Amino acid sequence: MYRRKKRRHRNWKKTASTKEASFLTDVTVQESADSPTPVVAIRKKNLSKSSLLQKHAMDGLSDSLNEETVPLDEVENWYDRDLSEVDNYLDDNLEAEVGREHVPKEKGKIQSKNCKKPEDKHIGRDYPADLWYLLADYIAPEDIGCFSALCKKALHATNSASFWRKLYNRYCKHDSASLPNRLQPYSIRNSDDCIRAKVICALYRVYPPFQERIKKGVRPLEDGDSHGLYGAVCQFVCNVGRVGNHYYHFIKFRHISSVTEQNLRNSLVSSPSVWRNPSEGEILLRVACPLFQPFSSEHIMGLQLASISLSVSRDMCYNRLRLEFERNYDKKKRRDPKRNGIDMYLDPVIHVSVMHWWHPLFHDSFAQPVSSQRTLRTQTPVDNHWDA
Amino acid sequence: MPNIKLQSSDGEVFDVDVDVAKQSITIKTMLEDLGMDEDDDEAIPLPNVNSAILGKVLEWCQFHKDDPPPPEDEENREKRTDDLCGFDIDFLKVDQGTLFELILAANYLDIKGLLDASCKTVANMIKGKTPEEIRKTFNIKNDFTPAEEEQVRKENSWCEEK
Amino acid sequence: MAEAAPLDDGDLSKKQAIALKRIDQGEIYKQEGNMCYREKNYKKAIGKYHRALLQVKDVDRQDGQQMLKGMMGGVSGVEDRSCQLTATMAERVKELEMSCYNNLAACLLHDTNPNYERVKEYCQNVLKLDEQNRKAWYRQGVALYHLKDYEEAQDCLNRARKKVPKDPDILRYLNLCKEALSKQLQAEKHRYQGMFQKMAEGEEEVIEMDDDK
Repeated sequence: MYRRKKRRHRNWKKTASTKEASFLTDVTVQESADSPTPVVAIRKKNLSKSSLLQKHAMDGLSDSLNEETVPLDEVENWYDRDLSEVDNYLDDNLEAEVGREHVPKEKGKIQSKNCKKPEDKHIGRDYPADLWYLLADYIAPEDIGCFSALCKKALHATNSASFWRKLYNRYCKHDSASLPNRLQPYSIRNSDDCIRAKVICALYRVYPPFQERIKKGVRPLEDGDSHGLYGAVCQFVCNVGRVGNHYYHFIKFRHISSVTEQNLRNSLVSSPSVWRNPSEGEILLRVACPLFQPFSSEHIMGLQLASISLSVSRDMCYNRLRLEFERNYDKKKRRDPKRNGIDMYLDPVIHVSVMHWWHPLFHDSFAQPVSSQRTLRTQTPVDNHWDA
Repeated sequence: MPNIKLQSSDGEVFDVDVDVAKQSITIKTMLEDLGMDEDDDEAIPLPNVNSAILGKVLEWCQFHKDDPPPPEDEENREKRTDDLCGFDIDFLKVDQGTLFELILAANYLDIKGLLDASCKTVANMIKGKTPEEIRKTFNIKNDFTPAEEEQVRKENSWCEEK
Repeated sequence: MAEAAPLDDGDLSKKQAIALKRIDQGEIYKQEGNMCYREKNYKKAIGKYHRALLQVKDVDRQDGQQMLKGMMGGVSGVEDRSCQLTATMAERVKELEMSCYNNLAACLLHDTNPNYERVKEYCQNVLKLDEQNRKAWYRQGVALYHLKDYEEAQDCLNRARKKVPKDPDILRYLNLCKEALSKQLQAEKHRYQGMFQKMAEGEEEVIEMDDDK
């Protein structure tokens, strides 16, 4: 089983490179003409409220998967497993959520934990900087965030290139053979630039507790904005051809930080090159569809995502993805239903996943020729190549 | 075996076996320069360590005096925090202030083993807690403004289990 | 009781006063050390210099009785002990550390069997603080000469000579280095000559034979 996957993987790569240029032009046209019922709608808001379907899509979906000739274990890759966790919920619920964004109770668990409650105020003591520097070397990667949030001196202790280099040497170096070039020891050793982001990416590839998080799968969409997607600006859309049984779309978002935020960041960070991260605030939305559905980015480029939701698809077998975009999204304001926004639908959709910059697939998605995909006629590769 | 006199910041003098004291690289270096014994009757003042902490430090040194020297390449090894010996676990069951104080004293006197054990103990105590809980446990002053704290949280979103 | 008093200027000046006292004490130890050195009691001098260094090590962090009070208070121990040194204080600490390490290196060189590695280490400590320190360059050169690292030694001694071109000690050690280097060169030449000769004579496995010698 494993060996076959590997071979297919190679096949895919080969074809990908040869068919690179031709795909987007002829195949999209052909495929969109041939596809049975793809629905891609871009509608101006205010036309109609989308009809809501409550039925869970799972039953229909599993039927459709069985129809395919691929063995089940191949189908049920880690990201597919997420599908079983996808909750369909009403678009209306979501809008209600958005309105309550700032009630602390509605916030994500971690967020509310970190929020300082006024009644908890205690003065506490200001320990010497040396203590934080000494302790920093003993903090496990998953505890670094919490450690650096204790006080300014603790933050500064995690602010140096040598801190990240030591972390890399302790947790990643021994496994560096599996890392891509930009995360190889020489790259970490020779430059302070972006070292923090590099080491974090390396940790997500080789440090077992973080690998576990990745293995658990890219989390499915959930209630509210636990992914921190809202307000992010759509930067590009890329239609990917068939990979395994799915057609993938990638939509890249980026949180543009305000001047105040940038100033705040600069005041906290003592070595900017160490903390520099070209991918900061970037989030990749990956949409897996059973059919090819071309959609263009021209309407949504540069707009901010105001809401994202999944409901049941028109054919009742899959999901329908709805993305709402706005020109001036303000998460503090309750959204105006009459706002001048754009809704985008993808239907049918199998699965939607959110990947942040530290996710191994985030960079692979760009490193590999995402836009240079294969044609439909080539051999079906195994989905697993995303795990590579 | 000759002895050496160490004086805490609050003036208490400890008469210490050279074999015990040389767990401290700082003291060991001095002793080596002196040819392993002192002519001077005057105690060696350690102004960064008070008597309570110096007593604890020497108790630790006494127990560990026959330990082999720590490996050199420690830097590049994963720091396991679950490998403390039974003595150290009990020894470090002290209040948080003493624990931090021991870390600083171990650093001042350059006692690698004690520094390791006490830092690991703190690292273990931090696990699974929120910053606010840790600040309370260790009585740490939060010197971030709410806006700064929110920004730090954003910077650390990579670390949160999503 | 449990709550720490917020840090105010009074606290800060108190801390600086403690730091100042320690710097003063360090300087006293150094003077005593210098006296012992002049009396050629090098061992005692070493003890004094080390005591001086212990006074100013981590001087920007202070211990004191406050900490015990904190512990008895029950919640937590350590007072805020970090203390910003004034520029003059920092300068005094630096001067003190430099002269202590320099003098320690000098004392150690008087030993019948000097620990040259340690001398080198102390000189490096000085040079970290002051790259232009001619005594440190000179003593490091001497240590390196005895550690048989002649080229490095020559480099150090030349740096020292830039400051004092006619110092007889520096010149003497430079000469020693030169001799040692030329001896080394001769030996090497000899060795390679032998090797080439053997090669010319067509003997096989020259390398091995050479190693056997």
